[in-house]
Amino acid sequence: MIELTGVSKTYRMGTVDVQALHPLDLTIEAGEFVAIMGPSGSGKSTLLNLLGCLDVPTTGVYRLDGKEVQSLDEEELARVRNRKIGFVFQNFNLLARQTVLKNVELPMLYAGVPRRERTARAKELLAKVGLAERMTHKPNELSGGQRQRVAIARALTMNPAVLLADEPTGNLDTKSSHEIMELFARINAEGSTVILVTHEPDIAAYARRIIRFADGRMLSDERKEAAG
Amino acid sequence: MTAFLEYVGIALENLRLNKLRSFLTIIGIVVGVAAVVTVVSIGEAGRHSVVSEISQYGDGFFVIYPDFSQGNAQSYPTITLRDVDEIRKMPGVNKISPYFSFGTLATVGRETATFLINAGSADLYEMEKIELVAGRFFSEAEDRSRQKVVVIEKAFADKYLGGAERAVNRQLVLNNSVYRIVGVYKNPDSFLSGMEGVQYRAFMPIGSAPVRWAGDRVDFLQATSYLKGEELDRLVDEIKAFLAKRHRVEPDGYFSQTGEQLQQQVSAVFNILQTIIGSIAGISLLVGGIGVMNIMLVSVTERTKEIGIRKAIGATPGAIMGQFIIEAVILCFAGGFIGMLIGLAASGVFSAATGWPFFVSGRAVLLAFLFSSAVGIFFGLYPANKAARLQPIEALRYE
Repeated sequence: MIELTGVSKTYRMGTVDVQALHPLDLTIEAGEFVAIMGPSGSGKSTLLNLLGCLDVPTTGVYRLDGKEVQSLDEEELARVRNRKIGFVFQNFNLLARQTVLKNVELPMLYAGVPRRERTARAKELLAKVGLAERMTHKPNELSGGQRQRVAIARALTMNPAVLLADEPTGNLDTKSSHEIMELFARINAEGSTVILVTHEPDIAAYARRIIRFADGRMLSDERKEAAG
Repeated sequence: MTAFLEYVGIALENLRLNKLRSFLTIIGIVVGVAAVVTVVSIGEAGRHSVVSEISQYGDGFFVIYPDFSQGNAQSYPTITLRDVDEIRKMPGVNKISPYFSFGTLATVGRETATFLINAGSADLYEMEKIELVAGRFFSEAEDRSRQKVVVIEKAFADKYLGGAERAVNRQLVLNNSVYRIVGVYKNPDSFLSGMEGVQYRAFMPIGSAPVRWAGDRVDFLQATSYLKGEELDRLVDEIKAFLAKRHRVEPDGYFSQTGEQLQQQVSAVFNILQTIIGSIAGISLLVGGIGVMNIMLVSVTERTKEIGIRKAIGATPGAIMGQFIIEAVILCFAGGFIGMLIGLAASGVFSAATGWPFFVSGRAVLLAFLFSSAVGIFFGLYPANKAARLQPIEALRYE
């Protein structure tokens, strides 16, 4: 599913090159539930951006769903993000001025899905995340947990190969955090690959595989048999 | 197509959410388009007004006049009453009149007024499309027998003679000769009328004019013909050759102008004027376009985050570009439409005030639309491209 070979990332900060991610080999199979942990600056967000095709690696080969994506241009990367990847962000990143329904429809808009089909699919997903009653609301009329569930519904619209979540519970209270994680667990149980970045151990505990990072290097890669 | 409509929807939504700003942005375009449409429409109205005034004389209308700068003491270009009588017999000539204008004082009782008198033949009645309000025009017989009769304009009759009806058959002393008023006519409301100031106008038979040039010379001749186009030009050349031969001068000793030529010349002048003034008005459109670009750039910066989100979930650079260009075009198009309405209203008011015909120039309307859309695309291009090239991670981080 995801196959990184010798992937690294170097940023240029003024005249200094900063090695955000040292060369790394990593394979994640379809259906896995992975948590990436580490302090800030450890390279975990850089990795997530590379996995999400928001950024391209400086070196190495990234094979996503059987296709090499490290040398694609902007236009092609946009298509990969649209069809193969679902993003969930810490600060939700919903379009504030659009309704919940329109937000969830958005990825399908860029995929060229006809309006009727879009609306039907968006309603179906909002029902799945328990927000069928809030479709016509604007994001700012919802609680943090509800907003994150909208974001998850949006991430799922195109049936992505992988769901990427960057600190999805970072802005939520404990109760909402666990509700969101239950939702991820359920989505994973239904067969989706889920990769999330977090620094909270009780959030990472939902995953069945935990990869730890520090200073741009992978420290450990543990697998559990059952979710905690 | 569906995607396009979606983008239009997104753009409209965004413009609606920023009503005041959208409105202020398009003012520049509104003013520019209104200026262009007004100028072109008024110009068009002016052209029609002048051309229709010229065409009153009919297509076969022409004038021939001598070039006084040519010749020498023995022979020089001139037109005499006898020349006109000969030309009248030429095939193709319909109406013809010599034309001799002079200013003179008129005495009515104890009052005096200045007259500009046009002396000619009875054919002037039809050629000049004279609109009688009382009495009649002078006749050919009166011209031949040198009757001292005169046809005066209504304004004079109203002021000094107690109205048109009462003026008929009254006497008028012109240049110390007594003339009988046989008719009163109404000066057409022309955009040229009123330019003569306080001079009154009158027509009289050239045979009875109180002053005359030696040898019965006249200022020029005017005539109409059934001929048109090249055939008319040929007739005019023939007459000029005839005159030149009689007076032993070169044929280029006579100028001529046909109604058709005059219409073309006037049209050409109006075209030039319209183009020049229209271009100046167009500059305000350019300024308006720069205003649109400015606001679009602000909008792109403000919505960096939104652009990042859209890109993260799969918007291609082309899609982002399309969104912003469509927004700019809608702005300019709306501005163009409002400007067009204002421009048409302004030219309507202008035509009501001046009495010129109200003329909706399809060309101006089309031009305004095309131009404002082009301005939208042109000035939307740079901001849209800037938006499309934003890096998704950078854009997402933007707060």
